[in-house]
Amino acid sequence: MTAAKYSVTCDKVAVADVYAALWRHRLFIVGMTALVGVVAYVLASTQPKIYESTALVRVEQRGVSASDLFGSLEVGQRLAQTYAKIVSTKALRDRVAARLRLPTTQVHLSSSPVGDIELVDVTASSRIPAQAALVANGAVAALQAFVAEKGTNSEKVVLIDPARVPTAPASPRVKLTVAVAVILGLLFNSALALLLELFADRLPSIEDMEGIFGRPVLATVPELTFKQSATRLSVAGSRTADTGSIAAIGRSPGGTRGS
Amino acid sequence: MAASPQTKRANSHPAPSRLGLIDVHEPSGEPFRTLRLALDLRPRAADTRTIVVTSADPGEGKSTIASNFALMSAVDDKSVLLVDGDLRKPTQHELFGVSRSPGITDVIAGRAEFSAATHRMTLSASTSPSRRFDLLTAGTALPNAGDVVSSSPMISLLQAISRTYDIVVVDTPPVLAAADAASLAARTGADVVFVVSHRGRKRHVQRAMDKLELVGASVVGFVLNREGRLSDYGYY
Repeated sequence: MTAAKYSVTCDKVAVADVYAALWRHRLFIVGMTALVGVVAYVLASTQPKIYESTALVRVEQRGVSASDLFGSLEVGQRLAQTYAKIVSTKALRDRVAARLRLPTTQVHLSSSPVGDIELVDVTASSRIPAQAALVANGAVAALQAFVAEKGTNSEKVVLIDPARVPTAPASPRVKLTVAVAVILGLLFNSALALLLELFADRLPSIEDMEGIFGRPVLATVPELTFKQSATRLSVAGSRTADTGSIAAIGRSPGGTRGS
Repeated sequence: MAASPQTKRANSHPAPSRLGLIDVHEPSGEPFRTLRLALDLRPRAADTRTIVVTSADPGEGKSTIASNFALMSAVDDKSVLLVDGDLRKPTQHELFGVSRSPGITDVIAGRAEFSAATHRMTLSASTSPSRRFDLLTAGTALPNAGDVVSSSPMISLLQAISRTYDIVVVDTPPVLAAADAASLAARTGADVVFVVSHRGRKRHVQRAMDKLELVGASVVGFVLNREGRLSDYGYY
């Protein structure tokens, strides 16, 4: 009976209970989330800064007539994908390293086609901003040379937008990292708080006390502060008066009432 | 509110205020009025009422509740006796600023008369007539407190007291720490008021309630202590 009553009550106030539990653990949640944010900030800030620079190239086909325009566009898209893949190969990386006289380990390249058109992004990353731009532009030159050397005469890689020296690092993104960490920390810590609440041996709410223990709540006493007041309490020098019955304990208790 | 007790030897000199005692005319007295009303409205067989105040664990505020309830009951023009039945760790004598002994153990042992062991407290305010209530402290410390509480002289004393006063409030040790409260309540037929603080543990309360029910004690209800702030209640 009591259990059934309790479960019904729980169903009714489940959402409120969740909010109440979160509110009770608010300091824990906020504190832990702040801690996660600080840790994320420290970790992100101490990471080495990586700069990225991107050059935009177009894979062009020579001698395409207006009637072949649609077909050439489709071919151009496929070529863009092909050359994007070529930029990521070790062979091209070696070419760039040789061209710029850099160790291969310092040449980090990536490439991707831009949408469904004939354009390709060639991106280089480095801890040195100028080197990132240098490697990206070097990669374009290496790709052009590679196409001229190994490709057909009908294809050509045209530099549309050369890579520029980046002014801000691409990573770490401190703000983004902290923001994501705080959001994830908030969710995780809230879930943890609810888990703690689940296993906590907490007393039920006032409304549920009677249902669970089968006894009413007679009164609720708030946190009280005590201060000097006009009411005085004094202890009489003489003892109590109506004690005749008490003095006769075990014999014949009786006597008067009152004080 | 703070009460300003005077010592037995120098009762004309106000002593410093005692922390833990409410001002019966202030909003802080309202929870105890509510408790008094709740207990008054409950049916009872006898004219007198013995109320055992206990809790599951220590530090839940039962002594404060017991003393302030006694204060508030005295305001209601009833004859009230507050008994410090916690012979292991008594606090009422400290709360009211009186000596611990002679007290209940001394009365039981025959070392003191009840009249000599009982302190008469006078509650006075400029706005209302003086009220009085009696306090029976724990008395001389004994090594076998548990045996004393459940002894026949103790039960007889409480039964005799209950015939003399309108209300007898007994402050007892926590149920899970000692069997005193269960023993007293069961053997005297007293009503048990169970104090629970907001940090209480559900399992502890349940175990304590089971203990009391096992011996047939009559638990009339709970007093939830330290539930929010006074301002939250909207007293005026």
